[in-house]
Amino acid sequence: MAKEPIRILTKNWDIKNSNTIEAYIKNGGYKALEKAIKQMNPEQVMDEVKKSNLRGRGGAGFPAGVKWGFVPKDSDKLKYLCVNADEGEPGTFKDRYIMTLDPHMLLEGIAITSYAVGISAAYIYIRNEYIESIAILKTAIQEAKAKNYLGASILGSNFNLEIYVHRGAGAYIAGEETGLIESLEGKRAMPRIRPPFPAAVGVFNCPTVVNNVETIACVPSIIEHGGEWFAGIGVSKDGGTKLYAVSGHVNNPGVYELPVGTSLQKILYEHAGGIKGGELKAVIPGGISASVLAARECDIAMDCQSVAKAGSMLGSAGIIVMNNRVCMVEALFNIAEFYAEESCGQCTPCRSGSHWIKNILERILHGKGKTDDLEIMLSFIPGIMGRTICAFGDALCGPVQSFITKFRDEFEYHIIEGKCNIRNKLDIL
Amino acid sequence: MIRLKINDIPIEIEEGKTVLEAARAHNIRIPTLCNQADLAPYGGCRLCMVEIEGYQRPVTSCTLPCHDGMVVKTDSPQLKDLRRFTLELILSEHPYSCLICDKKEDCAKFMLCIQKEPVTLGCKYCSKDGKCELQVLVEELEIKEIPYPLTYRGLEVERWDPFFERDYNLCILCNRCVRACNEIRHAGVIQFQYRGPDTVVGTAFGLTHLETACQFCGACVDACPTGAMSERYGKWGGVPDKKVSTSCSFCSIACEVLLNVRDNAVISSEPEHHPLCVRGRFGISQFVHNPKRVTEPFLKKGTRIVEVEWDEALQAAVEKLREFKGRTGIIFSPNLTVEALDALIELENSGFGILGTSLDSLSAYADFSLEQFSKPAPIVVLNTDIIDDFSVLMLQIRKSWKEKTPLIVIDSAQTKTADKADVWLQPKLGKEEDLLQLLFSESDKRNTTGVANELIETVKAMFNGNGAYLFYNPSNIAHVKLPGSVKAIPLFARPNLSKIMNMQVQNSNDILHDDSIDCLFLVGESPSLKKTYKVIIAQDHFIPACGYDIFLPAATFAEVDGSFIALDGKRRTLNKAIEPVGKSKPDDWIIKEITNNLGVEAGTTTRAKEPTQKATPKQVKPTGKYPFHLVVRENNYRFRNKSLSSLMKGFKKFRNDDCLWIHPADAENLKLKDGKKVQIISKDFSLTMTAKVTDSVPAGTVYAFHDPSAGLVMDKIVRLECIES
Repeated sequence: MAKEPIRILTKNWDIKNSNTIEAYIKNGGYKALEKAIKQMNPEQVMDEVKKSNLRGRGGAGFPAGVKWGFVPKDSDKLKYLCVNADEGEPGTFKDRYIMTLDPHMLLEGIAITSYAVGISAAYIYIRNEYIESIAILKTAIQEAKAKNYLGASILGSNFNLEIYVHRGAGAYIAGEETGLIESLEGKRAMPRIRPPFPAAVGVFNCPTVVNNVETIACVPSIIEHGGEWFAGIGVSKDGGTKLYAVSGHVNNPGVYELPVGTSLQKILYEHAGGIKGGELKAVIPGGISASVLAARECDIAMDCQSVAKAGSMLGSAGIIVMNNRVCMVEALFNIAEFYAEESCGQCTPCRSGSHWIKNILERILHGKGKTDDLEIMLSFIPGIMGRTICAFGDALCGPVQSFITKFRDEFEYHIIEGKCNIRNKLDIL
Repeated sequence: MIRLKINDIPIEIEEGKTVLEAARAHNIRIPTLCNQADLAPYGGCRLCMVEIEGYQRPVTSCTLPCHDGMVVKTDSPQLKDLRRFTLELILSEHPYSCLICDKKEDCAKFMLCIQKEPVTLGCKYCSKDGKCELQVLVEELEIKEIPYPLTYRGLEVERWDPFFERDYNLCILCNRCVRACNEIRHAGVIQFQYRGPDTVVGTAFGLTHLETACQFCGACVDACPTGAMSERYGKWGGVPDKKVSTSCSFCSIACEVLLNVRDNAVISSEPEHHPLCVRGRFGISQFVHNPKRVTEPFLKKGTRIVEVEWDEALQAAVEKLREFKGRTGIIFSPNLTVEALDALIELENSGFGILGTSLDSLSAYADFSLEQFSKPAPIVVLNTDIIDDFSVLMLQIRKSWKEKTPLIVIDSAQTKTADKADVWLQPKLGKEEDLLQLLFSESDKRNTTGVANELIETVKAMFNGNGAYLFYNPSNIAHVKLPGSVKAIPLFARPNLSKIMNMQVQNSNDILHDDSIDCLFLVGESPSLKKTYKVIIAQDHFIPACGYDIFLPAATFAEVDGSFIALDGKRRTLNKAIEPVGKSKPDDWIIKEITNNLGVEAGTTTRAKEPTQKATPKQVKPTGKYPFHLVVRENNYRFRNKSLSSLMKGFKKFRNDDCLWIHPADAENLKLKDGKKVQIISKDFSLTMTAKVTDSVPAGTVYAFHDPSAGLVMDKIVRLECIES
């Protein structure tokens, strides 16, 4: 007997005018906020989120409730919430759907989070390219204010909250939480040295919670149905459902809401409609920062621990699917080019290393590779991985190492023959 | 105290210090390029990685705070490999052919290389050769070969700004210049631009430094570990033989400065403990070795001026002083040393002449010390361009304050300080005192200052009962009655004031208007003359504008031992860095020689004098004949008889003193164009200046800098006439 699929984040997406407050309230919206404010104290809300095993959906997978708990309670400074809507990871496009189709779920989540942590000002740091989402969010904030779900004395309580939409200026590194904070303060987006962590010293030197859009959007359901219910959906220590954004060589690319821990095979073949234009060759399971998985490694469950066990990471769950007509040298070059361009320039190994990796890949791609090029690239890894301020360096090394080790024959063919074996075969066919 | 072990050496260090600081304090070397002791940790170069027991990965010691029981290793083979890898990457962005050349030892002697590369991309033609931090690190980490070819950025060398030039092809992106500009100087002129391998240091919108708020303090140049930023004048001076610590004499703040000396020449100067401003950082070497400087005694014989020996010049001076005994005015500059001033008193006591100097507004003089500013409070600046003229003072005051207090500027003109202020109040000319009354006391007086009442209330709210510090220009305002919570500090541009007050000298203006005076002895001063004198004896570094009959070349402050008294009333020491240039001699030596040769026992005659007290110049209303109000601003960019902009090209670009600021509307009426010559005519003088058309001054008012040699001493009403070119 097929179970009714659980829909938490996407439950309103099919409704007409789902981004209006009327539609949201009609479908049970803002009940959770009312429940939190009228029936619960902030500690209870935080406990409920801790119980839910909600992990950060932005990429690092840090338990959200624990992160909130790091904010000092006795600080006399203002506290801030930054919602990371910079969604810059290539292959990731889930947050945009939430903000466009159901902005009030995000706003309600922000309100509940702020209530739990004691925040009175929240920023949505959104990438500037999301023009539509920006407009929708701004309208939604006005609507919610008019109905007193935001603003002063929310629902008659003494809880106040203002939400500001702040547009980014197009740097990938502004998606890193401290880079985001710098950018929000009007500076160049460069990661900060930690400690101190944002929970202690964040925006304007005040305690700050930084969470991804999807993470925050999960909060209303947790309050409405309880943390245990949410935890029961996923796997142990990783609760709830997840938005899997599938792109690449599949028949039905798109965003799919499935319980955390759904198998990758199921996502690819049942939901995304199977591989398009050939056989499965490789999958990048969580945005380009994640190590690539070869077809034979794809029989895994999509939750943080299982993917980590397979040598990659769930990341933002932006699943990029490649069929057997893809040249892996070209794919890696594409990734390396992105990293070389987006490195903020602060740490030497990342700035200069990404540049050299890109340069070497470029010459391999164009048939001018040298025999020791692969070794040179691999020799960068210990110098970059874990040797930089933020995780950008690691994010660069993961793909480089996994592509070269798992598809070494393709790279070697490129270097020795000076041409691409994939294209070669395609040409023969 | 925290106890930890670095390389098995037990170390104690106070809490909050980083591992790098702890190692430095105990002379354990950890290589780094991006760390500078007075800047916030950056963690960018990744060279200072160390291993900590119990940590999985090496960490940067510059960002890691020490904690109890830490066991640190700074020199394992793995770390050396890691550092080598990182440095190789850094060098792949910096021309390195000479750095790893196996013949570099012999290169200086034999110049073995015939290749083109080192000429354009090597160390031998870099001004930092021998002073470069990369050279040290390449030796230390024994780098012989670099696996990557050089990626030369191919950027244009930025030579269009005065004082320093920038070759970002040599930049290793250590961020030190950026942090120095932002953290030490709060100027915020430069920042990283672009991303990835295109990252480069630059100004907003690619403006030149002159167009930005750059003060040319040189903090960025001092911070640069490579040759990317280099001083223009001292660039090719090489490695100094010695560094001499002395005090910068250009203004009354008197900063400590290190003079870099090579072959009896000052090649450059650098800050010692405190930051310097553009004068101390870039002005000293150019001033001392200025091509316009005269270092031989000269004598007017008939219609000809001839170079003579000291004996002859001194003899001539002594003869003239004897001839005009009692009819000689000795006008001196406050920029002299205390020793020279003492010698002048001796000379006056011999009865041959009377001493005089510019005493304008000296009655406002008050000692202050930096300790006075321990408590943070809003800063009010009245009619002084404190950021331009007293930038170091401002930095020192604010340095110890954790919080940033508001800066409120009261000025009828929009100065650089007004641009940086939190609030700029623009009162009508002459209403400054009224505005102060409105700000600081509950007065019922009607507000006629031209400043909106709301703005005054806003500023009052900023004081919040905490009082304020008021810095004001003593030449414009004489008496301001203020409540006790407001500390008023007059900012004088000249040093030695407490000494001069005790000397009870005449006002130089009185001497210049005294018809009985026939001979002038000018010591470091060049006043505007009201009559012709029979003899003018000038003792200075440069020929005075008013001409001379006998010229006695004086040694500059870099060439003498001595002292002078700074604005805070404390004595500063001058240490001789080089032997006097040419035949020049210290001021006190020259005056003593003259006194001795005059042959009169000291202390025989003393004229009892009353120090003349000048009243505040009354506000004169512009009339039909003289429609403009000329405001004379204090000029801190003058030293002795010259303005720095008349001596050095850089200063002329950065801050041209020879210009008259005029409002565009007034300029339009006069058909006057920016940069054109304009004649300024008042009841008692006429002079020509260059017009600077700017809307930062109010209409109907023109501004010029204080310049006694041009007669620009106090506010006047004037008429302007265009000079057809």
